Amino acid sequence: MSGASRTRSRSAGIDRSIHLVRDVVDHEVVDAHQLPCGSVDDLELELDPRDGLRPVALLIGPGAWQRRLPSWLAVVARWIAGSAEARVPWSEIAYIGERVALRRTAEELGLGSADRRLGRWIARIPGG
Amino acid sequence: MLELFLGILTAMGGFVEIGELTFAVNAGSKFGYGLLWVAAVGTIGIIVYGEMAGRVAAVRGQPVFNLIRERVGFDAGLVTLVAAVAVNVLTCAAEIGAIALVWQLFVDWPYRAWVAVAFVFLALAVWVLPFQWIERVFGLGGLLLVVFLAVAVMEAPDLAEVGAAFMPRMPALESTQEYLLYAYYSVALLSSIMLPYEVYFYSSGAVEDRWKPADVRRNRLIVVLGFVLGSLLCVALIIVGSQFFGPRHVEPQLPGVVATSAAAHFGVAGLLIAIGGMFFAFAGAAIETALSAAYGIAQFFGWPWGRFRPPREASRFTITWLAVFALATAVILTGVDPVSVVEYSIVFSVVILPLTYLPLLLVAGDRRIMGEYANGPIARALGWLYMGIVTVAALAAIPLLILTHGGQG
Amino acid sequence: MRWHAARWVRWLQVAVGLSIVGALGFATFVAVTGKPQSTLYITLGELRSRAAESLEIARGSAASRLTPNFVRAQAAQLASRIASLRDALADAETHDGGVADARTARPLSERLLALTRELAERADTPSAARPIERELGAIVERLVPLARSARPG
Repeated sequence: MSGASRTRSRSAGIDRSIHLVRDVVDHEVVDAHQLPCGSVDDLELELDPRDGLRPVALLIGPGAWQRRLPSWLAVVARWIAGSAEARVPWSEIAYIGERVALRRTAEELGLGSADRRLGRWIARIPGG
Repeated sequence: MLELFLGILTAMGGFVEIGELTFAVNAGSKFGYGLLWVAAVGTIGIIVYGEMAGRVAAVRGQPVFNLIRERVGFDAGLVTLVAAVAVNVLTCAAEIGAIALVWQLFVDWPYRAWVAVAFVFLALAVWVLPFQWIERVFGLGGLLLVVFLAVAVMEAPDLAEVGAAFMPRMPALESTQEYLLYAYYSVALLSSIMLPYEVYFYSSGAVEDRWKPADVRRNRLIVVLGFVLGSLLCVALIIVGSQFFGPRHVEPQLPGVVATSAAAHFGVAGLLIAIGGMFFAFAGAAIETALSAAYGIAQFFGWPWGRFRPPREASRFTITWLAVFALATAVILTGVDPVSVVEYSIVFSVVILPLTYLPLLLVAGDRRIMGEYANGPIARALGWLYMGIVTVAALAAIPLLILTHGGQG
Repeated sequence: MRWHAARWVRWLQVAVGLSIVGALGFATFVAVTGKPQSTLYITLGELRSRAAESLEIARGSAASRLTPNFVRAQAAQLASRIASLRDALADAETHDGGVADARTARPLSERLLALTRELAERADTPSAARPIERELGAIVERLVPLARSARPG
């Protein structure tokens, strides 16, 4: 990821140079309803002959951040958190500001499913 | 206006918990007024960092652990998170143990039974009460500890002597071992005032309460007035330790024993007020540590969080704070001496302090992020000064713990 | 800017880790090579404090400024801690070749334990606390100089 510090993107809402490492990676991701749905745990890049490395998708989930850990720790993490991973195409980004805002809802993009699943159980408890 | 007033009182009432209570009274009993200057140093420190955390939350709408991940990266940030959560669980355990000890003084059930009751009580309190109520009830209830301010006054301390003790100086002691113990108490007292969970909780609370940049001034007032008033309680406890317990050769380990000083001056009423205040202070701290841990984990991994959301909409966050209460309860149920748990929680808190303060300091001072609200010259100077102080304290803490045989002498 | 932060935090983590390891290593080194420092003074200091605390409870009970429940429960909490100290002293007596201070203090701790338990049992009658208070006072007076003289340096 080191060579792709700066990138230009012509998707709507992102027409300035953004610093991938500083402004995107490890930042909170929110959906169309401002609900947090993870952090940018990793980026999928592709090598374009004209523009060099450019971002193609956000990778969100334990599977994504486990790759950033030393291997022994990744095994422990996989045992605790599983290795689910969601891929959000770059075109789904509405804008990049404080947080990375997406166009659609978390449910539509397959994010935050663990929270929803648990939420159905918790909803059964009075006051949940 | 009322909001501001309540905010200040809540900050004041939430200042003391079992660690600070124990260390302050013992500091007074062992060293007289010799550690008052440390209390002052610690109070200024928590004001500096509390103000920064509140300001950042108001301006960026981001609490501490979001920032840690963005600023420091995933790996180093994860180590900080794990350390912070572990310390929070330990501190929560200490508070739960203290609550059980205090309840036992009223109704003579076995200690373990009270621990289980405490777990149920705390879990229900957080489940049922809206965030503002949680803050207010336990924060204001903790104000009952003002009885110790009255006790300190009744002990008629020489005010000139007290005032002079606020200047940093090393008292003349009898042996190397005593100097080591003094150093240990300095670090521990500092830690108990600057407990990291307070900052995490305060910053997340600011986001829960939906603070905006306009609230920056209010944040400053609450932090300065609330924490200064809270520090008066800490100073009072040191004075009580020095004037009441010192001459009686008492170095209290149990909260009930500390309450006898209130009984000595104000009878049964004083006793009940003191114990009531302790209960609210310890319960408030238990809740804050559990929520802090949950805030940290949820924010670090980008989960929905907050008591402003119904539990089913922040399900992993909810499970997390319940799990922290459960884990803390389990630690206490192993039968480990709650007094020791208190000691270790305070020591390990200071060890991780620089890890969480540094990213906060960097973000609060970053003009790109904070705009006009970035650290001014005072905040910057004090912020870096305290960064140095807490780093020295963090590095010295464990060696001192070992050299003083677990803080006993 | 961000990478500086990661580096500093990592250095801090390493420094803290080193301080812990270093301190443990030092403690082990001292324990293995040097003459282990007697920690009897710590036990004696705690015993003195518990005795003074029991005295304070007895005083409060006699003056009716503590509730009977409180007296019973607090005396019980103290009694269990005194029992551990008594055991530690019994240990020091046999193991450390009968250190004089331990030999003097152990019977005192036995009496202290008995008195504290009695205080708990008779918590409902404040007047019963008065003779207990007197005897506790005598024990404290003996323990204070004992604890002080046992301190190193």
